[in-house]
Amino acid sequence: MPRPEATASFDAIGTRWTIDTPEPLPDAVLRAVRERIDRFDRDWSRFRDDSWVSEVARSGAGAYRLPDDAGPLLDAYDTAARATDGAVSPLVGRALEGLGYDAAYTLRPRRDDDGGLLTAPAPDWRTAARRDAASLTLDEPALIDVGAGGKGYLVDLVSGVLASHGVAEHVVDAGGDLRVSGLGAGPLTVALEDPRDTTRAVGVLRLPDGALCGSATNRRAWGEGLHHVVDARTGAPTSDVLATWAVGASALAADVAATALFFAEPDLVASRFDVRYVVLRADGTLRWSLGLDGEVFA
Amino acid sequence: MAHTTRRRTLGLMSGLSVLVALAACGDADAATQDDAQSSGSTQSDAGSGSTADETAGAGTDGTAGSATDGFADGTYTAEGSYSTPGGEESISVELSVADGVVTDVTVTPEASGGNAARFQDEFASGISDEVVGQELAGLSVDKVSGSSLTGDGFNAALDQIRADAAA
Repeated sequence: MPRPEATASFDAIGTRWTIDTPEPLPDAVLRAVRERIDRFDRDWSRFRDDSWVSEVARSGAGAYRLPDDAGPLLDAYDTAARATDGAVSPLVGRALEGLGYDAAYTLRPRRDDDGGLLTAPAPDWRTAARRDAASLTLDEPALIDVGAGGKGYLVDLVSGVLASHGVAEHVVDAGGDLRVSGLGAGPLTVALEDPRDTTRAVGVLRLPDGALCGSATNRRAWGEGLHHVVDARTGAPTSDVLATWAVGASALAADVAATALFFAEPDLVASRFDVRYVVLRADGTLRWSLGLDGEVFA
Repeated sequence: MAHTTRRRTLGLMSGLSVLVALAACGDADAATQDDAQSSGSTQSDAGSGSTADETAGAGTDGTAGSATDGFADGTYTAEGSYSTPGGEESISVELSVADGVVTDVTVTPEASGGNAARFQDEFASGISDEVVGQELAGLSVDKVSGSSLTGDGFNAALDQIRADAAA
């Protein structure tokens, strides 16, 4: 089992990052990593007023020049929207705000007189938005939220920054979304946390190379039935699935697939994103790809 | 073959019945024929007269299969075949049963190549009715993956609304 010789940790984009490397990261490399994360945050964070997505939300319908790194991220959303009949969408920002998950962390949902959640469908990513290599055209106002794939994509980008600085061997961990590269000493072992009891694991996977991303509704949650995995078709949090994990070549694919697994037939998601998966449903059943390297405790 | 070895490592750790789902053609976009039927089965150890059809199936919904209740201990193998535009393809499934419980599942794709081989390799899945789980503290692992840890701002806001609710 590989043991990192050096670890750099910091908080960014609302989660904890750790980067394990054989040698301590030079200051210049760590600075380059932080700058890459900051640039991503300036473009894609709906939690800051000066970001590109906030500017788009304020300006309403229209055509916008995309951030330079947008292509792969939005391609993955296209794939997810097709696989989930529109349930996964980057246009769920307003729906999340309505549930209270806004830039000020109000965490108080809009409710009707009877106390029921007031929700509304997000604009359909497949019809209300058009894209070419450099620009995005929105037919109606929308707040972009890349919560389903942004963090995974950023993990890939950080892994790329490390590789470009000659740090070929590394583990990048952003709050449990992992990318492993060049581990010579053997695979990384990763426990899959049970969202119903976080002292327990539902399985252990081995990751020799590539990425593992998980998504669950237990922690980024702020009340009964109130969490961040929202069905764009209704604007309401989903309830059928408690947790998903996806293993793939890139953290972007694994992260977006992990969200898509909340809404679509797992084998379809596996096919579209070329991932292996574990899905824990609310009824307590567990489903997993037999092609996974590891064990499930079922 | 490497993938067989990997699958053998995905053992089942407890005494629960387990469904085995084989989706021979998992990609709904693929123009392959989804029909699949078991074409024969063998039972290598002495046991009940149940056919392997009861433990392994291939279907269009990816969830075909049934529980193993009533199976005698032993190793069961099943051969299945299905038609694809590329011709007849087959798949082999081996189940080990101890105390009425599946203890090991090995899926061996026998496809000759192309999409069929890929689908067989990638789209076999297991289902369990219940998670047994293990204590995290008792596991020797490098990392834990679950829902993302939340940042200070979110946590502070959550503490505030809890405090308001308690007031």
